Amino acid sequence: MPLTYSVQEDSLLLTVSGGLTIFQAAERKPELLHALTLVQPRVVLDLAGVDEIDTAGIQLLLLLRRELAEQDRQLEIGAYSPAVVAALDLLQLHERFGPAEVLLPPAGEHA
Amino acid sequence: MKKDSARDAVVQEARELLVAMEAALLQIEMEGPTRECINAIFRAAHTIKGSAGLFAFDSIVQFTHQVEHLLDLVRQDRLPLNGHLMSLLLQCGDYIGELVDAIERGQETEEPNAERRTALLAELALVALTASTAEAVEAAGAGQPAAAGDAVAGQREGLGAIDEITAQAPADYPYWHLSLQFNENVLRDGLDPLSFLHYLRSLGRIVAILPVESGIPDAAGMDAESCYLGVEICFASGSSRQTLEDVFEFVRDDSRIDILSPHSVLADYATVLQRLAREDAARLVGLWRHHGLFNETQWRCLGAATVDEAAAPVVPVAAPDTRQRPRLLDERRAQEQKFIKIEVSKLDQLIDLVGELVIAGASARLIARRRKDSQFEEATQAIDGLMEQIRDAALTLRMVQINEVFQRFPRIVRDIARDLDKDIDLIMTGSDTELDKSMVERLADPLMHIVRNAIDHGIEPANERLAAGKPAKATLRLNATHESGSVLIEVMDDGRGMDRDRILEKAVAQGLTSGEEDLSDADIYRFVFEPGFSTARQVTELSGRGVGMDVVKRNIEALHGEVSIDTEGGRGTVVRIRLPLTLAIISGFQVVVGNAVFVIPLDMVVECIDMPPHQSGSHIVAVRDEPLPFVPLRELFDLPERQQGRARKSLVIVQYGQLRAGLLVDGLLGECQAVIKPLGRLFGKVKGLSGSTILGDGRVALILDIPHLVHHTQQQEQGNAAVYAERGVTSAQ
Repeated sequence: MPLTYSVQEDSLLLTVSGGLTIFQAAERKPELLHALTLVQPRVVLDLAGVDEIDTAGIQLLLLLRRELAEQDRQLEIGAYSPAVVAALDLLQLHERFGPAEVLLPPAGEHA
Repeated sequence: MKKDSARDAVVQEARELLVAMEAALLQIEMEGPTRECINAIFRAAHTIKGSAGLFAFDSIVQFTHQVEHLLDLVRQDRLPLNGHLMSLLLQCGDYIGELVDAIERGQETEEPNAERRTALLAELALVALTASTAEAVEAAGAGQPAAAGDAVAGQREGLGAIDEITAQAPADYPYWHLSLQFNENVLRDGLDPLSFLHYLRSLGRIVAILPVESGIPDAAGMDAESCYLGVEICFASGSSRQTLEDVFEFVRDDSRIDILSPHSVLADYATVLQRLAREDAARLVGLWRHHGLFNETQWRCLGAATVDEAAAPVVPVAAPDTRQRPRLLDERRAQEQKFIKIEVSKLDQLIDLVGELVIAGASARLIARRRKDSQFEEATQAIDGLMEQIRDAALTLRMVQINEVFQRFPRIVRDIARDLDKDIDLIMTGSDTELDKSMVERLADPLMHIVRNAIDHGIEPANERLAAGKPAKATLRLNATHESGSVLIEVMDDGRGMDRDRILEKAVAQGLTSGEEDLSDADIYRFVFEPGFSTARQVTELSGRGVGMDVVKRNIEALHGEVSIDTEGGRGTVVRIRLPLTLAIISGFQVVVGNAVFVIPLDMVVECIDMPPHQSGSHIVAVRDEPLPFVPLRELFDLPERQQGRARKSLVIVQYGQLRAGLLVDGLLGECQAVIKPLGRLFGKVKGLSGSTILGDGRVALILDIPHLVHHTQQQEQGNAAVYAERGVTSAQ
């Protein structure tokens, strides 16, 4: 499964794996935005399994962040893959996805 | 409801001023800047700000203040009026228009377009900053940054004090700025904007980058495969512009690629800011600041603009607005049907034509009478009746209620009273009295002056009032009424009144009178209107009346009116302004003196009687046991005796204000419509005549200046009194 949801206390954990690019964007969009229908105030993204990300993927993350913010909810990135780090570095976007305080279990252990 | 009509007045005035401002700007664009035009624009902005401030429409005041500030720099020749600034000013004018519309809708607490406001304010601040490089260096030394902590206060104050701040062009910003907004299809075309950024890195260093995400639509409307993201990049590179432009060669179509060279002028950066949403603009400003685009003082100015906008209430712009627009348009359309705006010159032309019609009609009637053709006469009579109605209708087109002036006073009185810590009750009566539009406009200033004087100097402080046995709350009355063909406007206060003896003393000291003449109270109070009569000494001792009263008098006299004062020590003062009702056509009463025909404004005629017997040499007759002064017109104008001399003469009794007088004439001809034509320059100074008119048979008749003649009799009476007094003395000896 490229995207899974799990609940940890008051946090919602979204684990994305595989590509987050123009090729998967249309499919990922509703899946990611599903988080808007859930209630946990804090949403944490685990992107450690994302092997590829482009502008389309970044846009989705920004969109999710903005929509959550409108519900007074917070989006953080809890774990990164090298591809994600590189993209966020390039766009200097780190600070918009606040630091995660939760220590995430290694990717893949929960399912 | 009062507030509403005041609101309408502000809206109306602001609209007119905006039109004037735009016209002046456009004139500058076509013919180059002239001092006159620049001043006109400045005045417009200044006045809009002023009247908006009166009603605490803060949003418009703050915005207009910035515009005004910029214009002031232009006025002082510290800022060239170039094309960029011109279009900025036009845009600002448009935005002020939007703010005015909001006031009209009663939504002045909401910002019609916060983003646009921010952009315009930022740009205004930037342009102001670039005002002068020469002043910059010195000012930089003087206006050093405040601590970052008191940011908001400092920034606000920074805006106000822009001219003390360095306006250095950003010569010390060494980076390129790239502002990119890709076209929506770039991703589908297989190009990833990120890859351009990667490539850019090979040409230099990305110092800072700001992804602009506000282009992303809401979740429902967002197409995951479209590109919405824009980026703002500070880029350090030794590459040429060409090299950088080539990077984006493949996406240039439909994308916006703006590249600013290092050391561009601030206004260019402002243009970039202008395109961004507020949040992004604020981020970018922060970024630029961090990398030294602005020095501290410039930052404070810019910051003020963004803080201002941040402080403004956030308004959900999109949804309600679109729904409201159509309704608003309907309303406006309905209003357009109710009022048509007409150029005053067209109206004047109409009134001129009606005047000519009246003259032509009179001549037709004359012919009819001479032919003794009863049918013809009947027809002309019907035409006459209609003509009279047309005349009245045409004249009322120019009439407006004096309320247009009066309605400003409650607020003004309240403010002045508060400033001076006085408690004042303003009572306005007769505000539906109608008056020629041009007069109403020109009445505002003198009236304001009189009211200000009354509050400032006439009305005593509360403790003084109580000590004098008066209620602590003072009363100020404004009254307008029609009185024998003129409009009377009174400003009455129940203050301390004027000190007759002191005025006389002062008049003697200034050489206005010898002090030995026998002067009536009215004559003495008239000295108050002499130029420079009041002095600082009097402000305390004489309650300062007379400050600028000469200007008031001049203004009123320019309207063919007159102003007088009536006062009673300790009881209060009344200032009376008397104005003619209209300037164009009057109903007149024709009289014959010798071979000449004169016209007396009918409104002023009280009655006509046969001349009663009177003492020769005296100019007083007894009418119903009342003495009445009269003017023998034939002697006054030195006219020859009538050929077929008629023994009986008539006396036309006229009234002006509270004064009556008789005019001795040879015959009465009856009523007529008189189109007032001004006297030529040659006769302009002749006293006793106020104009001329053309009679039906083509002859010219002179219109008598009744106010002057009435005063003439009054003076004569006094002169006689003095003579009698002298005689009395001699006979007693």
